[in-house]
Amino acid sequence: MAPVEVSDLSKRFGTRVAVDHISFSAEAGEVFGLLGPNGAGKSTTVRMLCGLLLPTSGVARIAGHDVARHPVAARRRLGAVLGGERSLYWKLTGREYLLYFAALYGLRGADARRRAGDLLARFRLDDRADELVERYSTGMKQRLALARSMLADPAVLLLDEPTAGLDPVSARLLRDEVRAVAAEGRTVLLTTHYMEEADELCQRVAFVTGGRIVALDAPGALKRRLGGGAVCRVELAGWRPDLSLPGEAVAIGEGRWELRVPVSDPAAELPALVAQAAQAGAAVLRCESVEPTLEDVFVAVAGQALRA
Amino acid sequence: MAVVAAAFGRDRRIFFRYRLQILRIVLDPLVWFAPLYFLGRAFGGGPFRDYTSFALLGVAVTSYIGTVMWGIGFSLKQDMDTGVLEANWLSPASPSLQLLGRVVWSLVLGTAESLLSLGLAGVVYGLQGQWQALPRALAYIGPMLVALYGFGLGFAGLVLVVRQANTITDAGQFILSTLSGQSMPVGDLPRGLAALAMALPTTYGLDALRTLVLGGAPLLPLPVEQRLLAIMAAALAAAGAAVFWAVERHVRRAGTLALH
Amino acid sequence: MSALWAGVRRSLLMKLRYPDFWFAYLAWPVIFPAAYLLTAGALAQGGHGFAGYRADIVSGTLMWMWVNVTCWSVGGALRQEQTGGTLESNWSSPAARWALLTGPALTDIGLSLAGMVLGALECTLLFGVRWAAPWPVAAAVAVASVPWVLGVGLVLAAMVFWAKDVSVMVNLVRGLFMVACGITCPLAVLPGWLQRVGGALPMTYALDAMRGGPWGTDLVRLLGFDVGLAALGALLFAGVEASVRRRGALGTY
Ligand SMILES: Nc1ncnc2c1ncn2[C@@H]1O[C@H](COP(=O)(O)OP(=O)(O)O)[C@@H](O)[C@H]1O
Ligand SMILES: [Mg+2]
Repeated sequence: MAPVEVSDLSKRFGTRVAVDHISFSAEAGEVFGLLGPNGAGKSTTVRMLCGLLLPTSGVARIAGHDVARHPVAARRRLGAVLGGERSLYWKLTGREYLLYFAALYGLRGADARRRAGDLLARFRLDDRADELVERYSTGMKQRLALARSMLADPAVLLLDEPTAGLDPVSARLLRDEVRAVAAEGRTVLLTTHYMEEADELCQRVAFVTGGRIVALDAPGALKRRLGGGAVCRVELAGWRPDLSLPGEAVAIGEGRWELRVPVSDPAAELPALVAQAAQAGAAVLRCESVEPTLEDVFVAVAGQALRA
Repeated sequence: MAVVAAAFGRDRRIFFRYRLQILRIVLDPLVWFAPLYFLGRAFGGGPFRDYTSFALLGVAVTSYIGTVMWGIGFSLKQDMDTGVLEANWLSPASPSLQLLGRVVWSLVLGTAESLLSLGLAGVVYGLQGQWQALPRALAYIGPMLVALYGFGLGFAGLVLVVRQANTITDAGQFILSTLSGQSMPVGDLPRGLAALAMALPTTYGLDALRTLVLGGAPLLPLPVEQRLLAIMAAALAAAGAAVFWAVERHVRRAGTLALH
Repeated sequence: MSALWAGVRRSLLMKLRYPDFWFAYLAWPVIFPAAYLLTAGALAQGGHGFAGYRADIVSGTLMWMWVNVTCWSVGGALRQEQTGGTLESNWSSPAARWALLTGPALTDIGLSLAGMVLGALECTLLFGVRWAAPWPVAAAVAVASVPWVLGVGLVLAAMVFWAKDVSVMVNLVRGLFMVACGITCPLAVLPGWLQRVGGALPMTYALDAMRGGPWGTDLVRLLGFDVGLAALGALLFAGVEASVRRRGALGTY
């Protein structure tokens, strides 16, 4: 049985369906990504996996325990970082913070102190461990939250937008930590709306939009779905739906669109595409052909851009 | 037990790091006592043998109401706003136990506040009375506190649902304190309010304390008050826990733990 | 000016959406004075007259409540925006920053003033209060009090911004008014040193006028406080603004 198993999970808030019958499972040692735009239902899914939110229907299992039926057993095997730095007590030191949560996870005395010390060292916080959290940088706060989620030696780690708000360097360091955590045989489930992050980090990615999973596969396999060729990107002014140009048009600014068309032979097809656009009356501002990215796949599958 | 101790330690540490909070604890009872004290002076003490002591005991006992409501309800709201509540609730430790730790800390704080206000006021305003009777009053104050904290659990549930703490905390504290006979004998309340007052544990706790320290006749014979307090303690603790448990379920269903 | 109105509208909307709005503005201004009236009633059984006291207690407690509500709302507003992150988005708009703060503040003060007037009416009907001051004087006192109440709110907002703790600062400021202005008794009952403290607070004079004191001199003094406190509030606020520009709105939280 996989450490994370989700079957037919749904959540309705009043009449709004936030999560709509999704199913997936994630294996030990795997980094599994939920990728989707804001409001797709990623956080709602993660909160149900934590037992913070009761599903309307369906079952979520952590290490074999049904989260809704046996929440305590499930939470013992689970670590989670949801609000990032918002989950910290500003007036505790990093060490005190970890010791407090250690007690909530049933660790005590010398065990708790050893565990807290190890984690502080592992996440490079040991030299500032006895300072108040309010003096930490955003990256340190995020690492402290990650250290907290590792207290229980969890089989499953849930991370909701772990790099949101971090600078590129801190974000990369955090991604390294995540990879190391998975290498220890833990299952990491993370949500993100950064496609590069999902591409770089995840063994498998589920595209989420409107509360549904619209595609689920390894990033490489997802990209191969586009036909193994390239993607032509043509930036246009004056695009309209009735121009009947191929591909998907994504609004990228005031009166500007980017047309994305998967092609197998860019050398032949890009010039043809440019000519076609010009003929239809749209002004071509820029064009290029690139290796397809996950975002191209997302646009092709979901008909919608990740970042609006 | 470890969970309770951990939450207690967390709140204690955080309290002492907000140095200004300590100032508030010291000054608050004196401030709220002032209008009563001057009112008493304006009427030359009225029919009371020693209105200052009478009102001061009232303030000391009813300050526990404020401690419970601010210490539990308000701080829970703060945790919800800052986002730490979710991190706590996704650990395997039960939320009720975590709250109990918070309660125990606020109990320590409330006792310190009461003793402090009695001591300070003894110096500032001058007091008479049988103060050596204080330990005997514990037999009444103890069950009163259990009942009060049962109420606190229910109030915490209310805060989690309403998600707005300032006015209900302020007004609730004031109304309950007044009804408990903080500033006047419960018998002088209008009939309907007096009936309400007779349903509050703080009314009996305060009445017993005043009888023991200042003399005079109690509302009901003291053994009866003691039994009533024991019943209220059991009932309110059970009811408070049930309300909190129900609210916990509700919050997990509605997903309102983090937004504000 | 339009920023001022936008702020007024926004805070009105937000206020009406809080569930405790009606309680705070309709019930609370009766309950609070009533508790002290009841206490005074119990004390009056000693033989002292009580009738003339009712107006003193109602005016004192309601005036204090007005300051109290203002402390919470105006003093807390800046802090709430600071922690909630809306401060930066508001302040990065081109509107004048003082207008962004005073717009909502004036709404709060006006609303709570309306609540207090309503409370006074309710108390008059329920408890048979006989007022010492004729109503034009009472109205003049209320109007002349708006600026100093706003000033107190602004000063508090600046204090909260520095001290980062709303409840302590509010308790300190409102406690000062509670102890030193004789909200439940004539000022003469206070010990001499407290009377002198009370003499430095505007509420003392507002109450004096309401309770049938020499309202002419009281009003002149109130106008003096209006100018002084508004200036102090503006000055402190300018300090806050400068500090935001230097250290960022969130600072160390
Ligand atoms: N507690 C709640 N009550 C009502 N609606 C909610 C609640 N939480 C989330 N939603 C709605 O559910 C949808 C999914 O939200 P969320 O899971 O937070 O998306 P994501 O994390 O992918 O950005 C959104 O439309 C959001 O407005
Ligand atoms: Mg989200």
